[in-house]
Amino acid sequence: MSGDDTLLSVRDLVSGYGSTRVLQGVNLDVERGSVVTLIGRNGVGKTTTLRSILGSVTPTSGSVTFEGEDITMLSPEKTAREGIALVPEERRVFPGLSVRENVEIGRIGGRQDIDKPTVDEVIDEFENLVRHRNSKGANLSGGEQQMLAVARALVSAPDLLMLDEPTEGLAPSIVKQVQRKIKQLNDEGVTILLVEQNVQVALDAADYVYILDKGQVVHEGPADEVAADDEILDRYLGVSAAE
Amino acid sequence: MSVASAVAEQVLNGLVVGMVYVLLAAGLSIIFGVMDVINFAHGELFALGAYFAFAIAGPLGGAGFWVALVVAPLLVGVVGMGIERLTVKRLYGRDPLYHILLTFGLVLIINDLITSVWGKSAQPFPIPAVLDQPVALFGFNYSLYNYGIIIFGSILALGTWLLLNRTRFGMIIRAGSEDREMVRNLGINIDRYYTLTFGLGAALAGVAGIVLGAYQNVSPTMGSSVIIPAFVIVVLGGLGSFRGAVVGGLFVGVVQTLARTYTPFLEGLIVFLLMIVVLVVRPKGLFGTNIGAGEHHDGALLHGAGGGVLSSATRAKLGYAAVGVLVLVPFFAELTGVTYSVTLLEDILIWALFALSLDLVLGYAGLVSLGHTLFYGVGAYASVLTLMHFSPSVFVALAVAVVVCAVIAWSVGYLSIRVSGVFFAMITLAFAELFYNAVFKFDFTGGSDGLFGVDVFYGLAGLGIDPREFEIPLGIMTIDGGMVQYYFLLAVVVGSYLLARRLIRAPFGSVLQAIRESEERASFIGYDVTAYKRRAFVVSGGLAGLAGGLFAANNGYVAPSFLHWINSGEVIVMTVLGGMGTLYGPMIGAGVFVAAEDILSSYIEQWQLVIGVLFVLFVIFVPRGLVSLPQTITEHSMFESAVGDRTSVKDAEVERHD
Amino acid sequence: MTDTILETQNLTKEFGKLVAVDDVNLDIERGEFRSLIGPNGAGKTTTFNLLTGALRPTRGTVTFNGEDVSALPPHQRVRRGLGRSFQITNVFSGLTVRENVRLAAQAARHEGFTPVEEFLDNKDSFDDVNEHTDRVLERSGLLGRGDEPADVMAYGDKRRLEIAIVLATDPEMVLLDEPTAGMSAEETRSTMDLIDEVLSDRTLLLIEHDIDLVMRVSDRITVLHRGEILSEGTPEEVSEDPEVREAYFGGVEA
Repeated sequence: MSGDDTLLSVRDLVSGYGSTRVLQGVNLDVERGSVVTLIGRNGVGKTTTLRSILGSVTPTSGSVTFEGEDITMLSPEKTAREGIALVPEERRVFPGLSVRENVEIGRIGGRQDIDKPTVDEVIDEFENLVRHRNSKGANLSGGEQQMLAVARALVSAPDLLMLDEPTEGLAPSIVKQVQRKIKQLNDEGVTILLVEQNVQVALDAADYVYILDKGQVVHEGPADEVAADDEILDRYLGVSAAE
Repeated sequence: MSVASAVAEQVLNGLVVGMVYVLLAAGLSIIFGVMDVINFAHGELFALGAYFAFAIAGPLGGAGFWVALVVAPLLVGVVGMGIERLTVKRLYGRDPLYHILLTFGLVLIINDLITSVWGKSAQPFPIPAVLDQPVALFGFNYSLYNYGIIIFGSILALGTWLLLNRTRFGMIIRAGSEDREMVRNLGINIDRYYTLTFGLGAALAGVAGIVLGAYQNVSPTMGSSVIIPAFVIVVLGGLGSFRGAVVGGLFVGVVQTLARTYTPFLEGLIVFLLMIVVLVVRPKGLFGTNIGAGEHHDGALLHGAGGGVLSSATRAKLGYAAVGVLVLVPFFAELTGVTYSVTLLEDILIWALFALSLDLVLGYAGLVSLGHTLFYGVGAYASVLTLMHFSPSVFVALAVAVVVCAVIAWSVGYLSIRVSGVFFAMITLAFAELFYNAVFKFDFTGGSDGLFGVDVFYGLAGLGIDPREFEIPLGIMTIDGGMVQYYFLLAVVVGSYLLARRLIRAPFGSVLQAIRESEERASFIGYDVTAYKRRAFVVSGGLAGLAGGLFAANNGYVAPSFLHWINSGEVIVMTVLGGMGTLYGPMIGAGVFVAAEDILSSYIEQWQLVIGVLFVLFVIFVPRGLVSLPQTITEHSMFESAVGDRTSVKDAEVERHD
Repeated sequence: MTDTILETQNLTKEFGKLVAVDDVNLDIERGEFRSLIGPNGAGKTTTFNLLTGALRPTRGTVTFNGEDVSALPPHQRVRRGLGRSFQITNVFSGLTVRENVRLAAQAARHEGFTPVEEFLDNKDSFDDVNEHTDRVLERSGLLGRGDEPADVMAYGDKRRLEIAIVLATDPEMVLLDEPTAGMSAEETRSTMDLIDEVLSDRTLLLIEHDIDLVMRVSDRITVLHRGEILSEGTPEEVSEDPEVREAYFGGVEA
């Protein structure tokens, strides 16, 4: 689906840690304004894909193109300044910093050449952060921390928002909130690359889905087609809606 | 003067010293909190501040002090940033213990630079006349300068707090100390902030140096005399905690001053006792959180060369050859009249034994004992006291030294091995300092003079050799008492090496190596990791005591300097220089270090500087030591450009956080 | 009365306000293959750590072979026959394959050493340790590869060594921590075959999130959800439990 509107394009990406190759040639595209989801079992390389795009893992070969520019070898701080924001696995909010400070630090990062929303504007967007403005990150619940991590990424007004397992470990009602938030952000025009373990959340949110196995994309397609394909779901994810 | 105002004056004096400590400890603590760097060179940056101010203020006269107060800290800040950029930066991602080694090398360098520029003796640094007068406040007269220090220090501490908590810079620093990779991921170049932070810490140390220099005087030893109390404060307050540094600094300043006046016996001891109690009861310190301490991982890179350096057959041959040469040296010395070389070799052998003992804990059990000279010094005192009071036999004296040190090691180990890493290092340092300060206090240890003039007898119950009367003519030369002493020493050192090697090849040693590879796994196949480490520490303490005992017996004296922390630093330098985790490596390291010191010091005055620079280069480029050189050289020529620099740095970063 | 090997009573672990494991009662029978599953964040890993001794419970007890081991450190539990494997292969990579296994074998008979043997005899001079090492190497298919350094082994062989080390500690029961994490379907199969081949005569507790795998290999399954036991039973019973389906598949509707 590589076209004029392609924001991010990953080609033959090979990457890993030390001598272990986790990614064995990943190809994927993210179209501007869409939600693209990466799904797959634990350990197939989903997080490593995000980290390789950001640059916190350096690819051995292959390329990452963003807004038509080659960003393969950029360090994470440079990549972030190109307009890619990551909401990492396990959220990683700064526990000793207040909610405002967490968001403020996100505002310092990201692209430097654009107008960004103010800290309070962003916090006001998140109903469960509003009353915790001055609480420390450590004192928030898991769901609130997740929202804070998203707010911290959003305040830099990124062109691409990468979310790594945003619903992990959250109660079902909070999962629903996160789902709504993702939808709302996308409706507002944010392009999203989502890694998700929860297949239902992944399929609901996505426009387009990539299934990863053993460090490669083994299947891709529009979300509704993938959702309807029990055989694929069963083979690569071990779940089947019809079971 | 009433009792109340006398106490008040002492408390004020304590606050003055405390303020200096606050400024010093704040920098130390911030640098640790943000970068995990334990900066041993902080005391030298402090001294540098005083000397820069001294150099600036002198020629300018009246207003000079004020100019210096602004300019000198800035200069020290620049020096700090330079140090970070050139050296410290290269070690991020390695075990934090490498920073201890690196900054110890920096201590040698900066200290030598100071003495070569400004001389070795203390010099007066007058305070401006305006401040040099008493003011009457609260019913008694007190120096305006001292009030000034308290006020100025408070303002600076408050300013630093505001900088950390109310500015963008401070926010990034705090975020970085919690999760530096995440800060990078947000698009912030945290490395730039590291450099600034190091500069800030250095500048604060510089201010403290100026303040204290003008309060007392400037001297090249001022750095080494404050660095240990500063560590105590940082540990007391909690590593990385600014609030802890402030409270701890003032507290230690006041306690020290009050102790000096009211319980002179406890002066110098009380602070270390406090530190030990705090570390045992509450290892994270009074205000510490687990955030900083939690990031530590067991010394993944604090590894020796292990095997694999030359074949074991080659090593054995080289070993025999070395012992052969050592056996023959006295004969050549006798024939050529260069008896001096024997004295040098005796020094080398003793330090080799000391380094060997450290290697058992540092290289095999992964414990950084920063106070290893505790055992060296106590062994020396124990053997001299035995010789003086109980038995002239060197065998008895050395046996007592070994046993006493083993018992102390067991006790220290019992208290401290369960706390890990940096804390263990700090506790051992505190114990060594406690003993160092204690020997000054007692008559039976000879106070600051030490104990002199003991004679030894090489035998038991009257049967044996008295070196003073021993002489066997042998053709053109004589075997005299000096040779007996030398051969006895050689035999003990070679014997200790063989014993250590045997320990390492026994089940005990195999478990130590397992622990070094993976502590967690060793525990989960059924080994009591703590118990094994403690046993290694006991053996190591005993051997270090043997080294100290030998030195004291050979030279017939012992002095408090045997317990000075600089020895602990030097023996670590030797161990790392040679290649830890190999037993023979540290012994080679000791030989090279002592010989280099001896040769360099007879040719150039700045020998410390040269050794410091060499050591810093070693820590950065040859972390596995001299014994790894053959391997390193082969590898370099084989895979010259295999991996790009950037990739490897980034990978290290990733592995750290995964 | 069945023959219980491991039992937990009211096992609870709190981290500050978070209750990671909430009043868990497990009863594992000697010789069974039990699996503990649950979605991410269900408390599997915490439970595992409570059983191995890496964590101490806030409340409740762990009983192994009739003895309360709740306060014992990990190495003491291993000595009593409660072994564990690691998710990320955790072998002594700087040592040879044989030395890896020998260390575990040595631990298993360690209490028999006199101080002289412990500190001065050559580690390779103990016949019983050597024989045990050889037996384990043979049984785990590593015979003849003893001199290879562990760090250059292929991934699959490292897994093999991992299992061999566990076997050498002579466990009555083995706790397996996601042994197939990050593996392809084929690697998963061969690892499970290996476990079956080498450890089938021991009691096994498998911590796993892959429900398919668990369904295939377990005698009984315990499902954890938000720190509590949601369901327990044979694979058939568990797979038919609607609560499990809801919790585990995050609400995939049939």
